[in-house]
Amino acid sequence: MHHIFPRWIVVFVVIAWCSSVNAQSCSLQLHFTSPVDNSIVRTNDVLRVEPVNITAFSNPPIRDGWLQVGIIHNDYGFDIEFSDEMEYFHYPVTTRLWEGRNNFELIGWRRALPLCESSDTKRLFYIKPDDQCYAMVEELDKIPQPPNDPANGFVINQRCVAKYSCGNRPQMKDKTWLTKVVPAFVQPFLDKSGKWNEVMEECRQQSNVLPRYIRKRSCEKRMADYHIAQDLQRALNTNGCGVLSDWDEVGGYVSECISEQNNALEAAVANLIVGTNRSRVRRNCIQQNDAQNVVAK
Amino acid sequence: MVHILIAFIFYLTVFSAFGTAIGGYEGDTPNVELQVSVNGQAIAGERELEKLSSTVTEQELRAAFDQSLISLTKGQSVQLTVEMIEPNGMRSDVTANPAMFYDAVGKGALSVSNDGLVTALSDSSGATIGQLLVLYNTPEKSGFNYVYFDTDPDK
Repeated sequence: MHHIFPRWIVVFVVIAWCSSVNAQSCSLQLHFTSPVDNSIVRTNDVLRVEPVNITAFSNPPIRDGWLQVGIIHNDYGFDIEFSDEMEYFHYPVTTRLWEGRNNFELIGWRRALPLCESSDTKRLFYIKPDDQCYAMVEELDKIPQPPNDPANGFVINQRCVAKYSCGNRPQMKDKTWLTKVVPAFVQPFLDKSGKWNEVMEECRQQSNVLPRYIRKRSCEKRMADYHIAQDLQRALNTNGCGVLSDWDEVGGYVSECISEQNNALEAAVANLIVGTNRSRVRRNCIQQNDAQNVVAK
Repeated sequence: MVHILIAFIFYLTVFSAFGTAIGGYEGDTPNVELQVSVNGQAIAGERELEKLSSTVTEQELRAAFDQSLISLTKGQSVQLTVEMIEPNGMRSDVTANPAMFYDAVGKGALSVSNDGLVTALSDSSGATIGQLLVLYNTPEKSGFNYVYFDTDPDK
């Protein structure tokens, strides 16, 4: 064969074959058993050592030729290293949690052919107990959610967006902005100020007459539309429009929250509508600021 | 006689407590589709975009969504035509059918008549996209769609 094909072609084909096999040949999964992933950890210290129970699964089993498996915490290198040749680990780790988002990436390589590399990322949030931003999430938790109430989806989504936004705030550029905007955005709904009572009443009345399959969708649309057009617009106009990178990051959490609660088809379109509406209220905010600056000059 | 009266009161109580659905459809999923058109041009509504989302990229879906927006200036009206498509492919114009129900999401942006004439309200801020529920509902057949309107004065 070496006489027929140049050596470099043979090497190239072998590498390409290995790479193509790699994609399906192994996988790693990371699970937090306590606290569960995506949860919020609250303590009195800014930085503290917190036990995190981690379970790592591999397919095929780790004993099947894994060279090294470890966890990278917040991109700062291997925090924890596994060397046991086991199918899975229950590994109570004591690690230092950073304020805000804590990413844990499980990464591993396999030495036997087909060569392979795999990873899985999970996160925890550490938020101080007196945090003003997260206080909104706790207030949203107090709202009763009677079974079959078409407003439940909106409350869950609102909580989800507030949780991720506040949880990730320490990693954002303008932390002060988000600390002000989230309460300003959520409080009108908590207080049922503005036209919230009217919106909720319309929602309930319509839910009494619409076919069952559309009640939740109709109500959530009504609430989200009012919330963005009124509460978000006012929150931005009062507290600033935010830097684009922070705005986009919050947009990512909005999208994630919508996807958590809807099927893929519904989420794809809902994300387009919400994304367009968010962009428009931010543009209005920027235009208002520009107009004010002109007047001030 | 007393029994009939008690039964009547019971019936009244139950229905006023839970409400009666428009058209009385009890199914958990729609069983017909509604295709909305403006001036003979079919508009991709929420149902069509949702189906499309499983076969196209995010960018292509965004382009289809932008194309689906019906532009209206304040005070301007547009007449919708709604066709019901049954599972066997049969189509019928249901625009002004008594089983039709039109409803604008948020009362500030759009108004709509019982026969599908949509008007952009003059006090609309255009801050959010106008969304209109188009629903056909009878005890046997039920379907819905949402169509989108752009009343943004800055567009």
